[in-house]
Amino acid sequence: MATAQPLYVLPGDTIDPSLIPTHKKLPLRLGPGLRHIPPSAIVPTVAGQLVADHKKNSMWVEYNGGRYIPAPNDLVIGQIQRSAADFYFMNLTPFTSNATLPQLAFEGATKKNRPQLASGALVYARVVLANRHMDPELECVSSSTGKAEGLGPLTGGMAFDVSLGLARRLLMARSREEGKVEILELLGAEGLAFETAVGRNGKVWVGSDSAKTIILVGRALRETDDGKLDVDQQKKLAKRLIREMK
Amino acid sequence: MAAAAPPSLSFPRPVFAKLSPHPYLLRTLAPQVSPDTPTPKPSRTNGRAPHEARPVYIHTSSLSHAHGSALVRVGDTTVICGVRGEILPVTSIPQYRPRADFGEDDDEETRRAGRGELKDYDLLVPNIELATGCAPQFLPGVPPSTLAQTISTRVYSLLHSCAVVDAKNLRIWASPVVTKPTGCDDDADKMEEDDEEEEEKPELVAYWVLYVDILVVSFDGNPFDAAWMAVLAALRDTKLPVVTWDSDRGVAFCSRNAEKRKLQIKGLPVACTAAVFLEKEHGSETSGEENNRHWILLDPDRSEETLCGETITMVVDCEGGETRLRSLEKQGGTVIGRELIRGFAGVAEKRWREVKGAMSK
Amino acid sequence: MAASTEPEAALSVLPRADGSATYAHAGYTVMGSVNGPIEASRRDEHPYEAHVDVIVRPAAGVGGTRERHLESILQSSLSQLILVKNFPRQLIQIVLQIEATPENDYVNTKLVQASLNFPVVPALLQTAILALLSAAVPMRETAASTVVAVVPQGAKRLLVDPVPRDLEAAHSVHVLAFTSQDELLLAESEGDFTVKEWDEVYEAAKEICCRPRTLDEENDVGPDLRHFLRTTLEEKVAEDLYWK
Repeated sequence: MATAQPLYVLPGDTIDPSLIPTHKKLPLRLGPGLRHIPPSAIVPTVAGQLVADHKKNSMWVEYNGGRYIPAPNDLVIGQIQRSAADFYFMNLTPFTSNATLPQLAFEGATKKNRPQLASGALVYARVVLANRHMDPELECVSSSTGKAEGLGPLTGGMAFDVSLGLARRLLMARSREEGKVEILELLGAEGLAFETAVGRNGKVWVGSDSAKTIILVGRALRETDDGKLDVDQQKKLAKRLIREMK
Repeated sequence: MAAAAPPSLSFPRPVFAKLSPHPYLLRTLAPQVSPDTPTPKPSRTNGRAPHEARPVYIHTSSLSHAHGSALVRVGDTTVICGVRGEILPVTSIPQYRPRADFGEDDDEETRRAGRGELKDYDLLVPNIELATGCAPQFLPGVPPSTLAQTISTRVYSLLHSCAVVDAKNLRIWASPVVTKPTGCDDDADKMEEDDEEEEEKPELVAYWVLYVDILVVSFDGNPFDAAWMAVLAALRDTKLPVVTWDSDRGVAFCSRNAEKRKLQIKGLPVACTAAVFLEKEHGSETSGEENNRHWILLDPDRSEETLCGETITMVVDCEGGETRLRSLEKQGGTVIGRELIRGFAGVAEKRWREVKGAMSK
Repeated sequence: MAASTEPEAALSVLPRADGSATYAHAGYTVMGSVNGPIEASRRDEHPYEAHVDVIVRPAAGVGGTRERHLESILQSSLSQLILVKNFPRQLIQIVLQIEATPENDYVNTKLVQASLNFPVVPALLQTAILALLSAAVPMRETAASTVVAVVPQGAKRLLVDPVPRDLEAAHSVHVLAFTSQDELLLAESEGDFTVKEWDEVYEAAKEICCRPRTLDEENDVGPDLRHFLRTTLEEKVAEDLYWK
């Protein structure tokens, strides 16, 4: 953005047309927190910082908080509520209506051979369909390749709740540079062996052979989130936690 | 059997109204102009013009056991209201604080103090019931609906803020009141004869508590206007018997044949409600001018109320010649702004005259 | 009198709710929480829009008919602000707990359940909006609300944020709310007034709710609510996005 000063918006604010990126070829893409009122008005719907990406010709409002609202292609961690003939009913956030996960939407699943998941099991899935008039639909297999690509049931380990903002930062392609969250790398560098899955719905699953490690990683994430730690503080935190564990 | 009639894609009017009430109302309000028919007048589904209210019928004194009662019919909304007075001795008021002086003039200060009395001792108790069966949405055996609670709160606060009943009409005295212009002078005189040696100061011994019970017999929209009209008509009809105070036993009593006095009612505040009907229903928003028409429907009926979000209620009193507003409630939308509210005062005035006519009949 | 006091607010004070806020102004303190969009009960389900459920809890005792009326006022106003059409069949629940009300000098008051309590409406509405923003519930616009009393005499005929004693003496009391597009969202008045007086009240309230941001104001009529809302939210967003 041209201005160094971050631009904060409130719902209903008028956005200066000069801030709306223009691109010759790409259509303008609106991210979360913005809505388009025909013919040409673009209005924020949440309070946050307006961000525009001129290369990708997109703009969105950056904010943290609230409840997860499913959007297509989001990676989420859901919990199986119950199973029906062809579907699992999944819970993404408490008290919302269930998302559906077809039992055949797993890698290599057939009518005869499909995963048997008990209620309460955690599943890492992708949102396929998020329509306001329907319950969201999930899948654990890429429909183009037929491969799981890391999605599927999460066995062992434990899921921790984090803020939506932290989940988003962890999911960034370069979470260290852009999202300024390094804690997981730091802990890994200290020699802890663990794996994680981050759900956009504010859940982080941590798996490891050692229960101690799982709890330590979970604590590190929660403290980073609650304390709003920057990279240096995260380094200190990682050192402290490792020291305490020994 | 003969072959079934070919399926028809046109519905008769009632079916259309039932299936899609919003487009139906929209179509009657904004009739399409076609060359072969003369341009029809925009009207509502009930045949009224947008600014046309339903006629009012008021019948008073229909309940023989109440001290005052009124039956109000506004179209198919029928409300019956009964006022019953009960004597509340000051000894049974928990936080009773006798006041030193009761000003006899009608000045501002006294009226305000009287209002305090009404409020502190809860001398006006309105209650509303939306009877089972008055409309399909009211089911038996459920706690009072939000609507009933809201109306009862509004009636209560309007009774107090308008001060239609003056506290001095509800006071019951034990001994002579020389300067009191109205009230229970007669019995006071009698008492005077009894103990004329002791120059006792008049003592306030009890209050009348007015229980105002409102029953909606038939509900077809706009319950508040009708309920308030019924309350007002019933209060104007109220006659309280003259109370005798037995100082020996410390009880107040009124005999069956006691003389009855009409309750004095100040002013004639009349409520006037309208709802705003928007052209767009569930569609997307547009910032343009199209599809943004609206109509202000005076005195909405039940089917119109379900289609309208924004409502305005204005309570006006033109009794003193000048139009005074006693209450204004506007909520649920942003269509009605300053100009429309100004204009609505004129509509409310017109309604006031209609209701006044019905009241004095 | 109380006009010069600035409102105070804190956002996201409750860790478990989706959004929350406390707001204190003119003697009233209200805490609000927002949860949603969540699954609506069958009774509240609306096929085309979200049901906004407002629960008002009084400072003392349990809610009565008066609270039901306040709830219905707030519900109809907030439904205008929230983009309810985005969440059909869902529920957005707003709980508002009144924590403190201004002391009444008049001692004889008892808890009259049924009487209306207009002056609390602005505090409730402001809290609800702050909590909704904290919960990042998509909204069409924001709003600001204030209470104005017309008093018989004194230096100022119109009193903004009157204290209970002024209310007792006031000819009429008005609550007005304006959206951020300067449209009249809510108008509740009671007492005895004329259209002309209401017009003056409208002007005064609009000044407070919609005043453009100017620094040097000569006749300071009251707090600048719109500016207050913006600065509060900017602080919160800046804190949330500390990593940017």
